[in-house]
Amino acid sequence: MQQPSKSETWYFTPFEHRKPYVPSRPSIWREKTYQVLASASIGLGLWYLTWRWSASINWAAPGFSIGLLAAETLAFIGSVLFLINLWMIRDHAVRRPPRSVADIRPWTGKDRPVIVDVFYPTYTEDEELVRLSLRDAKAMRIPDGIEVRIHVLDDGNRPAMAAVAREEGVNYLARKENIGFKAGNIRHGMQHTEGDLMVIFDADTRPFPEFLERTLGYFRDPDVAWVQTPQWFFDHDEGIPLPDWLHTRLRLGRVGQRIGQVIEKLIGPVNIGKDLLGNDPRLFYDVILRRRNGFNASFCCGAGSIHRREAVMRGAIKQWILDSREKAETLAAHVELASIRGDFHDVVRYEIARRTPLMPYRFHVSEDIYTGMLLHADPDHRWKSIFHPEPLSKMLSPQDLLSWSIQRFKYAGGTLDIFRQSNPIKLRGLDFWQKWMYMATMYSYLAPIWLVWFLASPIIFFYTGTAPVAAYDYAFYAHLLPFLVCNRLALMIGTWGVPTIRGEQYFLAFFWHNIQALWEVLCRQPIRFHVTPKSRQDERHIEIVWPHLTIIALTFGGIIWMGWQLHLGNEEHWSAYVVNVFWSLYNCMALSVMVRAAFKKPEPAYAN
Amino acid sequence: MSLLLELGPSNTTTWVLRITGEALDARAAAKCHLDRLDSEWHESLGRVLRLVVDLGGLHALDASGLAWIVQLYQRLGPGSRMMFCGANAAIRRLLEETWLDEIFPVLDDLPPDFTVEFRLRIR
Repeated sequence: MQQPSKSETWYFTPFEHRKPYVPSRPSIWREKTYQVLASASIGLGLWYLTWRWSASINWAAPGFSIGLLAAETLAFIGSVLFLINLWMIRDHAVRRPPRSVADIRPWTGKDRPVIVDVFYPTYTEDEELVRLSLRDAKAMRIPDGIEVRIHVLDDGNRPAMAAVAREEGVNYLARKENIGFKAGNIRHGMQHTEGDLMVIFDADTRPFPEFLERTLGYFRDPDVAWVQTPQWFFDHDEGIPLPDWLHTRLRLGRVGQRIGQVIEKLIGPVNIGKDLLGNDPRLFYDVILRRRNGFNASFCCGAGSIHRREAVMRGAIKQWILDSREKAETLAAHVELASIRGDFHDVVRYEIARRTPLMPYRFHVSEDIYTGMLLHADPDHRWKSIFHPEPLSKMLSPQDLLSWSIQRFKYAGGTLDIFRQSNPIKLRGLDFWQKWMYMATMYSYLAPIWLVWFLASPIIFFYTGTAPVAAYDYAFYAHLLPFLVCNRLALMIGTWGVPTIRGEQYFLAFFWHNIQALWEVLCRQPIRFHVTPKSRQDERHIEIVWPHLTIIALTFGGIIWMGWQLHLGNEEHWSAYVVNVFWSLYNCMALSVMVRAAFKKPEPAYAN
Repeated sequence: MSLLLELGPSNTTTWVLRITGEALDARAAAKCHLDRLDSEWHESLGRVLRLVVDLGGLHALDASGLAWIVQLYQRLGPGSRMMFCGANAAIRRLLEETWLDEIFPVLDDLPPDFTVEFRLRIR
């Protein structure tokens, strides 16, 4: 077999030996403690907000004061949704893989193996990179009674990709055009294959040998529509160990190194600049998505998922019917003459049905979550989705702030666009909790509406001396602190063992991308689709973080300005000053992580 | 396990597609992918205004097979209609559950006589 010399020179080659994280172990005591703290936090939050609305508005500056209060209220709703999301861990038991097709669906014909199609949709990705994935896919252990067929779905229609597929002995499917991007590509793949189950990978998804053994058993339940596994990035930046950082970066020499070693002895290993782009998947997969199992609302995230073809096709046919019905009704509503409206509707409907293509996956930027949500909403069939907590594949993460931004922008725009097109709260067929879990995801992308107030408020205070609350007095702290402390404790217990600091920082630092995504969706502009670059680009991206730098500069300027005014005796709100200094420094700390990422150059020396 | 597809006219506007065999499923649908059918099929389908799909001799149908039928419908001429007849209980339930019966009536009648013009056997 041909061994490409290039495979030895990938930037991620030194990380190949890394092992994925182990999912956190559920604990009934931790869960109960969390539920008590989360309930208390919701109660205290309501108490605080009631007091804020009734007794704390600064009527000298009503616009500013009420604006911030509205922002706090919206943020609280998001916080409640998040607290409910984390309520419980209810993993599904792993079952042994099916032995034949009769184990996964009603079957009256001659018994046969379960056919599993493995799809590798690709467009512009390096052919040699796809080769690595194909080799790992071929190395998956195949349980008895399963037949696996691997397909490269090449939207780039590249002879070099076809050659790699041939050399690796897998099927190659290309189409003449690339309508519908990935969703269209998968549809084309489905039309030319026949598997009962379909595994969807990205071009860079490298499954572990146990991938099929661990996941196929879930399909013994005929209502399981899809199984999602975590997307674990094995190429994340580990940062620089603290002693080395003090030694070389801060130029403190051996003394610095020694200090670093002492600190590490006391609190364990410390790495400076670790995972600056926040690519650690645990907060999302091991906490947020995993806990949706209990609500049958874990959604589909694309790569690393296995789908039941029958469920996908049933969903596609129903959506096709629904789309033609809605379009025909909209058109018929314009017919003024009631007597011919019905006939017009029928004629138009057949024509729409004839022209609207069947789409197993919605042609949408976020086709995976959208398609999954519509399946969950099937009123005639209660499809189940399963999130399998243990990582069963490894992938590459965006390596610089630009590619990261393109990817996250796509997630934000895509999710918001689903919200605009099919608001889950109004979507018939979803049950109560499913509605709220989908809503929680979409709502989190509305965050800039309140985050801009949180970022601007301390700055407005520093330059104008106007406070958004009537007084920073005892009553204020007595209402706010119990809520903050309880909320912090609840989140600490609720996310026990999972690093959350980057998630928290990026929730704030993402505000600018998020505003842009919100704007594009509101203006109904198509969310520009980009294939996330998977190669490392050694560029700095100051243009992405100028709003962050502006806010940081204004904050520090404001702290000095107000401090000077207090010193001169022109102002006397020391208490308000201290609160706002802490608040704005927290904001700056969160924003600075993206600034650091923009200026960061890779540190290959510390790859481990 | 084989499947027989027979297509032909009953009268000037109505054509019949008779599907006989074990199952029209993803496997069969991939094997008789519409792009692989001869151009004569497509020319004839393009002139059909009313297509009766006779499922009387078909044992099992799944959503992938139904999707194949829908895509066949989309190759018919403008303003055309399609209807099913002879569906067994399981197939009837599938047609109801996928809401296809909303635009393609499911008839209890016997299929009209027709002259077979095209025949395709899938093994």
